[in-house]
Amino acid sequence: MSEQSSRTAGGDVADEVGDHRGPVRPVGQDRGKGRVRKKITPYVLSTPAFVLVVGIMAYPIVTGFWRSFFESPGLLQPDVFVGPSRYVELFRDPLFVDALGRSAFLVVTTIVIGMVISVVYALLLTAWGRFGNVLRTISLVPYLISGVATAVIWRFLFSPQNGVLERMLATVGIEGGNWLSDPNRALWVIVITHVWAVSPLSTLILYGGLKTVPGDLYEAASVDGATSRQMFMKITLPWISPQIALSLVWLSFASFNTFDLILAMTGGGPGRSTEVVALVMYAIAFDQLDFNTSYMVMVILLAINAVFSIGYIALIPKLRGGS
Amino acid sequence: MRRFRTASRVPVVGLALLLVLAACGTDDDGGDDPVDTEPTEEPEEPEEPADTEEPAEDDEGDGEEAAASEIGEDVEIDFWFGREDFIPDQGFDEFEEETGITVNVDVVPLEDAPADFIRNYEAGDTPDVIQVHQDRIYPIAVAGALRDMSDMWQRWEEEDPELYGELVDLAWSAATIEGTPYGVALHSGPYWFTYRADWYEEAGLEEPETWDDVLENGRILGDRGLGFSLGASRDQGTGWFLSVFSQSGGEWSETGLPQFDSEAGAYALEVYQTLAADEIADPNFIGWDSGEFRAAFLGGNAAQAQLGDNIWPEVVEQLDYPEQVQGVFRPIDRPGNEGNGTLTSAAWAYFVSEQTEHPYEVSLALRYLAQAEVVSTVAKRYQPTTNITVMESEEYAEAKPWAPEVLDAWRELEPRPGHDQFGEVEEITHDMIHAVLLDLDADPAEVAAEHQERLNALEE
Repeated sequence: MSEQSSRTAGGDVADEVGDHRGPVRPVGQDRGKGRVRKKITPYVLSTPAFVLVVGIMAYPIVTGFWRSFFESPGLLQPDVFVGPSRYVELFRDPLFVDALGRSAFLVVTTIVIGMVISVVYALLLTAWGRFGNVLRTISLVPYLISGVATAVIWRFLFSPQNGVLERMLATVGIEGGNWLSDPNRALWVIVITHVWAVSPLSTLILYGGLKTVPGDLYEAASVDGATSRQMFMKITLPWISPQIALSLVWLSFASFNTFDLILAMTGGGPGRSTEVVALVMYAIAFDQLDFNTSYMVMVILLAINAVFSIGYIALIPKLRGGS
Repeated sequence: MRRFRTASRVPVVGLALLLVLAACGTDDDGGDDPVDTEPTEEPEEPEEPADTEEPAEDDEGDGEEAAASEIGEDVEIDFWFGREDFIPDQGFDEFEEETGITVNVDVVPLEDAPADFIRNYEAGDTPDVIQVHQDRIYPIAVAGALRDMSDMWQRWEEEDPELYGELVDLAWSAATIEGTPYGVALHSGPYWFTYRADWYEEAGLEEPETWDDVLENGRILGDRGLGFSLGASRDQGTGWFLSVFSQSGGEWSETGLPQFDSEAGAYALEVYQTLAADEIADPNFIGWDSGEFRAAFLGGNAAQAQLGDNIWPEVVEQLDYPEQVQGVFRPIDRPGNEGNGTLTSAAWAYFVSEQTEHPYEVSLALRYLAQAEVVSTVAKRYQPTTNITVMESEEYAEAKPWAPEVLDAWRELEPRPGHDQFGEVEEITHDMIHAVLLDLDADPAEVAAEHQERLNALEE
């Protein structure tokens, strides 16, 4: 008789077959060491990247935050800890408060105009099929151009002598006048230029979301007699609410932090009509050499961006409801 | 299993490597990495320059021998040039061969240099020499981050009096802050009033004596292009306005604060306001930077402008000198103040860091840069030099035909004063200029007084 035939009924096969391999366990049940290794391996593998991110981003932020509570009696003098009182002083400075107001204006207008343009454009890209694919690639160009190059292009477009806009207005008998040298108009020129530069990425984010909307939802809604508007409001927008939140984060973040474009276009003028918080931070740090105060401005910008971002991400996706 | 264990070690090793690299950081001493630490004859701070009379006779011979014997071994010094254009054509090759001193050259833009220097200073790793606008160095000098070079300049005068004497006063005064010399300015340049000589001739106009003449000539020539080309953008310096201010008799306090609350200040503002109100300048000049207003003149679209000497080579490439373009190489005055205006000049001085361990070697490198055959390579194609033998040479006149005309003014140039809160001073000056440009009915004297209060408050 073979070994196998001598097996007793209900006996443990593993005891007789291949003892050196140990008892056979059900599939999926790891040993203790393997379980621990599986748990810690992702952390170990991501540690170098984490260290780099912390080193490059978190360290300056934490350092800046800490140093914002210090005041320097003079350049290269030892800092003196003064606590948060200087934040109160900063908010009492009319120049800073005015700059904050302009930044808020830039953010609100960019969000409103930028989001409308991005949604419309994303819908068109979705509807245009192959042509939309080509346009999708081209539409990234403004995002890829540097802020300084963008400023140069748009300064030319708004030139009162030879600018494209002036010539277009002249054909219909309108005199455009001065754009960048008029304090009432200069910020609007910045808004238009900025929207042009930041909307492409927002468009692509929304486009990605639109591509995930299940087609059968529209079919079902159509069968139920829903109008296009109703489908857009009740299906499309709620479905892409996470992407809307992300776009809002991008648009407001890019607007609060915009600096190179404004510096190259107007330098913050005429007067101080286009001086936003990022420009103030730059001037304080590199012209006035007051780094501790510039850290305060950095912290304020960071806090504002964080609050807005958290708000968008926490609230907007709730529109989706039950997802 | 073994492969997996090995693979998991890789990120751990990588992390350890990162930590080691971070811990290494930078040494306390800049680029100095001596292999041999023998205390060779390296008088880092020569202590008896005043007493020694070693190079008293036969200046060059003994002076050079004394210098050679005091240079340390394996010395490296770090130089920050503010523009690549300031680096001489031959670099430091000859200097390095003769002295054995290695010069590490880097270009840190003039505008970025002060902030970068401060960061490096706090890390204990400054360059030995930094080049920067002389009026922007004040905060750093006042903070004690620069070295007093009195002893080194005294040695220079003793060891090489001929070269020392070739530099005009501006070379030393532009690098002296509150009475202490911290470096030397080998290049400087005021703004010259530049005009279309052919347009003037056709219109029968004379060279302006006052800024009122400039405005009137601009009105007359306005049909040919811009009467005057200038810019007032906030992202550029206030040097052009300060030039008008100083030529109009404007003064600065002892601490370097411009005194705009004066006849000169009000007049300079009025000139700017009139340029806008009478449309003598471009309607958008409040937002123009230097590139735009220079381009307007170079392109033949403007009758007059204030242009730096370094722009003149481009000007004479586009327009014939002196038939089409000419300059007024003296102050243009304010009516009633004729003869009392001054031409102040920007200077891009070399300043020595207080952290340098080789001040003597640094001074030798600066002497090298000051030599006529070296500094002329920069002066002929870029900014003029404070070495008068170069400015008076035929070679220089060949490269810059207008040079002989500027010599008288050149010798009288004064450095534009700076202030230890230079950034705030510039911001307030911009505010003041824009105030009169945005409200063409504003009283320049009142605007000047209002902003003078803000300036004065900086020192309270």
